[in-house]
Amino acid sequence: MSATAQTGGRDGAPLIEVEGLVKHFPIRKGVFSRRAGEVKAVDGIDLAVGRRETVALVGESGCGKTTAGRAILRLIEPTAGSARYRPDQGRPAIDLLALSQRELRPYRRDLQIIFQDPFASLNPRITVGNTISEALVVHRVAKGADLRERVDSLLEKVGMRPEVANRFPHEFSGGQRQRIGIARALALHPKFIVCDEAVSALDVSIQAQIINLLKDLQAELGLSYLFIAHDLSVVKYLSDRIAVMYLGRIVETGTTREIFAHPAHPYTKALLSAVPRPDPTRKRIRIPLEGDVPSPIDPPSGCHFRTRCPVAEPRCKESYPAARDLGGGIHSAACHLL
Amino acid sequence: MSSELQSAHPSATARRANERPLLEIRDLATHFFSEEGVARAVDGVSFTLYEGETLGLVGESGCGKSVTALSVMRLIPDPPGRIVAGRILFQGEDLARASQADMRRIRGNEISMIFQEPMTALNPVYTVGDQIQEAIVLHQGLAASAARERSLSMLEKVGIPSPDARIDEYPHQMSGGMRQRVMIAMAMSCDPRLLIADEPSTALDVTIQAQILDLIRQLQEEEGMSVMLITHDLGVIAETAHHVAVMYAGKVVEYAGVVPLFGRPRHPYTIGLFRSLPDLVAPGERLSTIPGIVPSAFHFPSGCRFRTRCPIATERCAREEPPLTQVSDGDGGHTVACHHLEQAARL
Repeated sequence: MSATAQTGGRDGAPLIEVEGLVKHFPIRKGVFSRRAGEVKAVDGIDLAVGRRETVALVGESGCGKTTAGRAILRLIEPTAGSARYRPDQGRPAIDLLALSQRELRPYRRDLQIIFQDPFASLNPRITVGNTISEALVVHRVAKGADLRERVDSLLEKVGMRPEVANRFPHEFSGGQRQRIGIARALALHPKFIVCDEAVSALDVSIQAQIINLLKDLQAELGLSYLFIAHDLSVVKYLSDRIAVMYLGRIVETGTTREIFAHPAHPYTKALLSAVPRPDPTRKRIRIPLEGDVPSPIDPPSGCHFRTRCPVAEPRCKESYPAARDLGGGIHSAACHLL
Repeated sequence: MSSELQSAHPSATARRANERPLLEIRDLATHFFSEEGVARAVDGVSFTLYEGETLGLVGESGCGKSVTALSVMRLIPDPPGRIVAGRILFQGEDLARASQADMRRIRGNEISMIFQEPMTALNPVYTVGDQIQEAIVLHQGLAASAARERSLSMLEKVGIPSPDARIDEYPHQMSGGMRQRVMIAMAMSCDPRLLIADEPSTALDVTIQAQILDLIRQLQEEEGMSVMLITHDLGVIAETAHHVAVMYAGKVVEYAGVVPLFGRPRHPYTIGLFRSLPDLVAPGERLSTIPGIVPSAFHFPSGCRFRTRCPIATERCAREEPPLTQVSDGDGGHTVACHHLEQAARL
């Protein structure tokens, strides 16, 4: 069992338990669309998100974090793996990845996503009110006066006035659009929300508003978040646990406190050391990483990180390191040199 | 770990070699004229950039930091934009009034600029070598073969592995970090006195960002040039800049050395900005926020432009615009534009 078998969650079995998630994108070439290889975007990850828990999936562009989030929600079809979802304690779990799209539909309400770019994720020709109510209509949850009331209360919940329902997305700033996107995600009373770089495109002062909103909503509605991000200072503040991805795999996972206090994997160490901190008097100790992330089409043999690792040894070429528990089931990492 | 790179903050080591100002901007105003009205994107900006130092220009989207930089380069599209007032003194010469011929001599040679998105800044149909050589041939009048030699040495200097092979590649064959290195090689190829870097690392991953910022810092120390670093990231400012100008709604609201600014910010906007950083708040504690949004450049509030979002604004703030006033004279001076500094200190 790998890095993330540890149970997430503050009470009982996790809400979502992902095991062996794989997503390979085929590369086709030539007139007959011959399969010429594949992009191993996600290459076997395990991840658990508990009830009322925020788990952050961090890593650099191309590491597969967004693909992983979308595959769990079946917004793209995963190649292999399972994602056991337990809507209620005590009832058997449902494997979201084994259901047909039709069987999946009733669970869709519980599983939502907030996107990074508040400019691209709202339809410019649909009013704010209709954007939010669409899901309620499709799922036949409400209509007429009840529908309008629900939209109003959702807008209030995300800190906007109900009057804005008749306006169009272009009339709003980035932060306000992100609030609209959050209201849309909340419409069906979800249990689990994938926040895909949900605050990355926002200015600092607006980002703080949205982070506070996400925290308030979590406390009020008992939400679980899979928080996909590259900004480690936001992650440190917001998440309970962290999983660090590199080239399609999770290299380290643990509680936020553990990861920041005792990072174990050389990649995590380098990543943390590269984050610029707003303290000019602090002495910088940076672990420089050479070069760029290799292509996920042809990842390095053995440990994927070895080509950039400052401490790699010959044996790192040989096999992919298994995840090792670093104590108490709250921290594990996949490195030969631990 | 032997491969760890330790470095003190630049302000501790390479203090300004001399206190000579390289660039002095005084009351610069750049406006954009459209049917909707006048957007006062930059509206009375003043600051000084000394030789051999890095000045951080920080602020949120739409505060006018990029327009300030483009004004210095005289790259404001006209129409709709125009420098309507102020002086941009570069080595004593007022660039706001320089002829286009003078600017062609200065741009690329004396002042060069790198941008946020290196893919759009590079021409996709020319090799990177061709693009660097073009700048060298144009500005330094070198022959093609000598220019190629110089391009190769520049690519090597900015840390591109096997430059002999890479010089004939096209931009799309390179990663984002490599492209930004090419941009830096191009910008540095004529030994500029001033490098303007507009969000040079924002589009890059954090480990690549660290490489690019280290490179800019290293080149600055080697070549003794000045850098104007535009960013919204206070972490990048803290690690790179000597002096910082904080912009809000087309104006500089605070200017100080990086250590005093981060140690004791004085303007309510700067204070609010720091408080909203998740870095500086303990987990579990609530982030403080600046309510509302940045006002539109078409309709700035009267008086102090921050007053609509300021927790201590009074009726005076609506009536009178606060001037930039010196609050301390150490380390190049600390100036703040606020009527209520005592109240701000208690925020």
